[in-house]
Order: sequence, then C-alpha cells, then structure tokens
Amino acid sequence: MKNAHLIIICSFFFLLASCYEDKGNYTYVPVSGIEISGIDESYILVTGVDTLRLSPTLVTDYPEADLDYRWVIARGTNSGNTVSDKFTYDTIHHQRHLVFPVIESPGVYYLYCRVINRVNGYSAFAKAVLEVGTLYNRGHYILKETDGGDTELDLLLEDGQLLTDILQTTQGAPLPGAPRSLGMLYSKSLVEPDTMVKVKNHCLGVITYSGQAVVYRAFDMYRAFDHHSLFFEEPVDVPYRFYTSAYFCEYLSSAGLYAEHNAGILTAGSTIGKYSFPETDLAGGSDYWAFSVNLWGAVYWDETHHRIAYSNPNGMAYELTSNDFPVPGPDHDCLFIGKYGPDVIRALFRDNVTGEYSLYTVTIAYMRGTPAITGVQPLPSPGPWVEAPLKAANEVTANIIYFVHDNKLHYHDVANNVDHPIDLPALPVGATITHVANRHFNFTDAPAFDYFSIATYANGHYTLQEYNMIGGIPTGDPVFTATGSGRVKQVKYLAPNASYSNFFFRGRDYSR
Amino acid sequence: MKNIHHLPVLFLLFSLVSCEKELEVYSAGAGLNFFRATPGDTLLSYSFIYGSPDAVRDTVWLEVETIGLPSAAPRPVTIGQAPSGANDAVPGTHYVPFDDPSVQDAYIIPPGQTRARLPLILKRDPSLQTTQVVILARVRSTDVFPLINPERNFVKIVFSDQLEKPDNWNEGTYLFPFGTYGPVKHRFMIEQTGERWDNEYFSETLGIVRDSPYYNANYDNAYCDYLVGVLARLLQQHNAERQALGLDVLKEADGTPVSF
Repeated sequence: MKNAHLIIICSFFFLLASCYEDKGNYTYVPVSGIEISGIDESYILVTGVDTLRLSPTLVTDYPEADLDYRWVIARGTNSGNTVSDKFTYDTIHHQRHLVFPVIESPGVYYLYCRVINRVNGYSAFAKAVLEVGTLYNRGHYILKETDGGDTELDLLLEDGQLLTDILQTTQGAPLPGAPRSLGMLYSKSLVEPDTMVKVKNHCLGVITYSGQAVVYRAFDMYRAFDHHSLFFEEPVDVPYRFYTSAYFCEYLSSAGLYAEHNAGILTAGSTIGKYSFPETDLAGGSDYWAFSVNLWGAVYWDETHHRIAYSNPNGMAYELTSNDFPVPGPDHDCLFIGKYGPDVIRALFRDNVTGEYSLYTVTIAYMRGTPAITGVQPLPSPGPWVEAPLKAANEVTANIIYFVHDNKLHYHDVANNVDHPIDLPALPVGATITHVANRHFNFTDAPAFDYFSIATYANGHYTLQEYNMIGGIPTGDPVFTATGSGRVKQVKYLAPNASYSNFFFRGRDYSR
Repeated sequence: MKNIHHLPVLFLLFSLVSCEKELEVYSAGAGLNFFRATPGDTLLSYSFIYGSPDAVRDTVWLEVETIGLPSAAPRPVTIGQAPSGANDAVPGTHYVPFDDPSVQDAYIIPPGQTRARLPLILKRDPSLQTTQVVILARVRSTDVFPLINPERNFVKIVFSDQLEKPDNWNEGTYLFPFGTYGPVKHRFMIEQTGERWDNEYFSETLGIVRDSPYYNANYDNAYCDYLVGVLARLLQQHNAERQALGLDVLKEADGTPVSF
C-alpha cells in the first residue's frame, strides 16, 4: 500500500514535465568551422628593430565580410618564469594581415590571432610565442681576454653577425683581470633599477682571475651585481664559476657553493637576488667541474681541501666519499673533470708522490641520485693527454676527451686508452689553440645543436670555429666561423626563452 | 504511511526553490562587529617587555565596524569581558575596565562613521611577569547596537610582561626558517640583533605573515636564510663563551637547547 502511494506521488512529479513548453528552434543550420594556418609556433624578434608581419590562411565557409580579427598579445608578470605567473592582455591589431612594429620590452609573449564570425559568434584562434629581446638576448657568447689582459665579451648571433667588445660598449671598459669563466644564470633574481621591483631575468655571470664576479642582465647588460653587492655578507673567497642547475642560480667559490632559487612558487618576486650563506658548510672548489643532468648538480674538485665534492638538486654541497675505492687526497691534484652522457662524470688525478695518474668514473645511476665512484682506472703509461693544458670532454655522443698537445688537436679514447690526432684543415695555420669544447643545446623552443668548438689566436685576433660532429669527431666545414680581437677563453650559449613554465630547468641537458 | 506524510513536506520545500525575489536594501537595523582584516584576526598579542621598562600602562586598540547605515549622532559602544576559560585578566588590576568613566568618552562611533578604534588600556601588574592573562572582549548587545553577528563580536587579547610568541611565528609552515619557538630563543634573537622580532618586524621587515600564503611582498627567502645563518653563528659564539665560563649551552626552561 505504501508503495502504491509513493508511485502516485512520483507520477505527479512526472506529470509536471508536460507543463513545459518547448520553445526550441529545430531548424538546424550547418555551422562552418574556421581553420587558421600560416602562423608559426614561435617568432624571435628584436625590439625596436623588427616588425612582425603575418598573413594567416583561413579555411572556412564564412564570407570574409562576416569575419572580425583580433590580434592580442599576452605577457606574464614574470616572463613565464613562475608557475604563479599572471598574464595581461593587449589587443594590438584588428585586421586580418598583422603589421606589428615590435617595441615591447624584452620578454616572452604569447600572440593570439582570434577570428570571429560576427553573425553567429563562432570563433577560432591560433597562438604563437613571441620571444622579444635585444641583440644581446640570444646567441653564442664568447668570453675572451683582451690584449691588455682584461676580460671582454663578444656575441655571435644566429645569423653569423658578431657583436664585439660588449663590455667596452655597454660599461665603458672591459672587466679588469683575465677571464676565468662565464656562466648563464637563467631567471636570476634582481631588482629592476627603474621601478625597484623584484624581477627575474636571464643573466651572464662573469668571473675573472683578479677576483671579479659580476652579473649582467642579458638583454640590456645592466650590471646587476658585483662581488660586493652579490651577497648579504660578502665572503673573502676565490670565485670559480656561475651556473644554472635544475632549480638554482649557483655560484661556486673557495667559500663554498651558493644557491638561489630560480624557479617555483617561492620565487615569485621573493628575493632581491643576493646570496645568503652556502647551504652547507662544505667550503672549497676549483675550475675543475662538470654538471650532470642526472644529478641535477655538479661534481667538482676542491683544490683547497683536496677532495671531490658535489652539489645536489637542492643546491647543497657534500664531499664525495667511497667505501669501494680510495678517494683522492692531499697528495693528489686534479687535472680534468668532464661529463659524458647524463650519468657519467670522469675525473683525472695525479698522485704527486708516486707520479701516477688515475681516471675516476663517477656515476649517478638515476635521476636525482647520489653520485658514486664506480671505477678507478690506473694509467701506468699515459699519453701526453694527461698533462695537456687544454682538455674537454665530448659530453653527449662519444666517450672521448679532446686535448691539445704541441698545439695540435687530439682525442683520448677513454674506453681503449689510446690517443688519436684530429685533423682540422680549416684551422688557421700557425695560430695557437686557446679553447676546445663540446657545446650542445637541445630544447624544443630553441635551435638544437651539438658542436665541437675550437678557437685559435694569432696576431692579436682570435678565430672561433664550430663544427658538426660524427662520432664525436668534427667533420666538414665549420658551421660558424667568427674572428675578433683578443684570445678566446670560453663560449657559452644563451637561450632567452628558458623558463620554469616550459620545463627548461628540470633535468635539461645542455653544456653549461 | 509516514513516508507519504513526508512527501508533501518535501514537495513544499522543493517549491521554495522557485521563489526568487529582488534583493532588498539592508534594513534590519544597526549592528556592531570587531573589524577583521582577515578571518583569522581574532587574537591580539601584547607584551610590556618591548616597551619602556618604566611604563606602567599601555594601550592596544580594538577596531570595530558597524552594520547598517551611518548615524548623524555619536553612538555609544559597549564592550564587556567574557570568561575565556583560563587566566582571565582582572579588571582594574590588569586593565582599565571597559566601563570605567575615564574611557567612556572614547567608546563611541563618531557621527557619520562606520568604524572606530577603541582604546584598551593595559596595566603593568607585577603578576604579568609570570602569568599571561586573557581578555575575551565581546560587543555587548544594546538598544543602539543589538547583537546581529555573534561570529564576529569577539576578540581575544593575550598579554603579559614576558616575551610572547608572535602570531606571525609560523613554525608550522615551510616558509618559516627560524624553527620552533622558545622564550629563551626569542630573547636571544632580540638581544643579539637589536630587533623586536614581533609581528610588525616579521611582517614589515621579513615579509612573514600569519595567514596563507604566509608571506607578503616584503618577503625575501634568501634574506631570511641569511638571518638564520647569522643567528646560528652568534649562538655558536654565545655558547662558546658560556662554556668557557663553565655554563651549559643556552637552553629553554624545559632543557631544550636553543638552536637555529
């Protein structure tokens, strides 16, 4: 009986549906889509110089007269460098064919082309990344020593153009002292001098043998920090190198490893860019250093305390110890450290008591793993490579170490412990080789390359050549050749679109 | 059968959903709340320890806001003390009572205003050197301001003549680098740096605030880390000096060593 009553009541509710008057329009008209093409994924533009001209191709049944166009640019408050970025939007054009003189501040923008049918409201859009910079934003930076023994920068652009003596041009003089190292500091915190707002910009970190450690903002070469202003408490130290790890802009000196967050929610304008203290008490460092993408950190030699050290993904430094192999100690000097692949670092040591050489293999077995010494190869009768002043690892494709002996290029085959000469006919005859390196970069929003880089010096001028390689051996004619004044010390690539948002930092393998 | 009786009631409830009226202008009369910039603003901490050692009284300000339309005439505000559960402050001993004639003139909402700051005068009784007392202040319902919003008609004032743990000492958040609170540690920080390490210092200098996201525009994580490093170094020196005198390292009253 109860169920019957319940059914009656429920039926009453269902009957209410019959009171609904359907006023729907069932005269269906097919709606056309709008397909937009002819817009690339990204454009690299120089502010104040370039004009972006785009003419999208449309596939649609709508007549052109019914279509409206809206071109919009969006910029994050922090150039897309943080996950908490907020975007502002600005409409820049209302016609189909975009003509946009680029006068925006350097940064990464998103360009939207929205096509709207004003009759039925249907719309579609296409999107592109606009990488707006100055000429200083992107390219191969050349750290060089002037004839006066000071530090200068040249910049080799993608189109082969060479910007020379940038410090002289922008700062009025080279940096005093001979060049020691150049490092790219992606998303380095600093205070914008015009607005006093905390920002993050890509910077160059330059170190000299005279103890200078200067950070320049890349796009305008604003001198953001020097050794005096870089710390809340300036250390008395020997600076070795700046570099970007997975999450930090790091500075290695004899005082230890300093780290500043360059990504993540904590960095949304959270710091003015000065370094605190080293994250751990492990002091010491040297020029012998290699970055491992598996480690998200570096393995380096501490020339003060004669020990191998490493930095972990949190920017903390530790001593590398081993239960399986003897570690180098006070009797040892380091002669070379280089990486091979994502997980292997090799270090060459000389025992100053016995005169023996040993090649250590340090392995980081898995992503963000702890490094371990996994092999020590004695070198009872080593070739000249061990004492060669110029050495460089092939970091990606071949288990070899380049070296220069008697001003000639060779490589050491690590697996077979033999040396081979490399013939480069295009090298200037009689010039002194001052720089060798494997330089690679592979990122979706930037040109991928894997070059063998070599520079010579003669009569006050350098010649820099960069080659493609087969099996680690430079081949063919140089991809790039640049000549300028001075003596090349290092060459480093700067990619302006690296950011936290596009996952550049996390586990990205590139030559640092 | 009971179910059938319930159904018409449910039907009636469902039918209420269809009732929609235009929103009306508020006309339910005047009310009064304590003003809260954030929902968590229910606690005020104070200590005489930061002020002059000669001070015998000090004033904290209670901000209230009205509900309803402003009035052309001044409106009296009546605040009372409610039992807090423990260590209730004694009127006249620990503070000037809310109904004391000397403060009555200040307990008004001025004509045309919707907010006012009411003085609460705290007295430096010797008992405050060993005891932290509490005033649970409530807005009393009156003819002028009848009780409307009981959720916001109270504020808790905790005060003493000892160091108080600042509300912004957010040791439970990952952004807070100064570790677990302790009065000895707090006093060490004040003595060594010359800073107050109170809520204002945390908020205005360090950018550390009580409520999520626990930091403001002044926050600089590297600077906070730097201060931790400085304090750790100073503590190391201080402990070395103590040990040279035959004393133990700096500890809290419960024996926990001070650390950073």
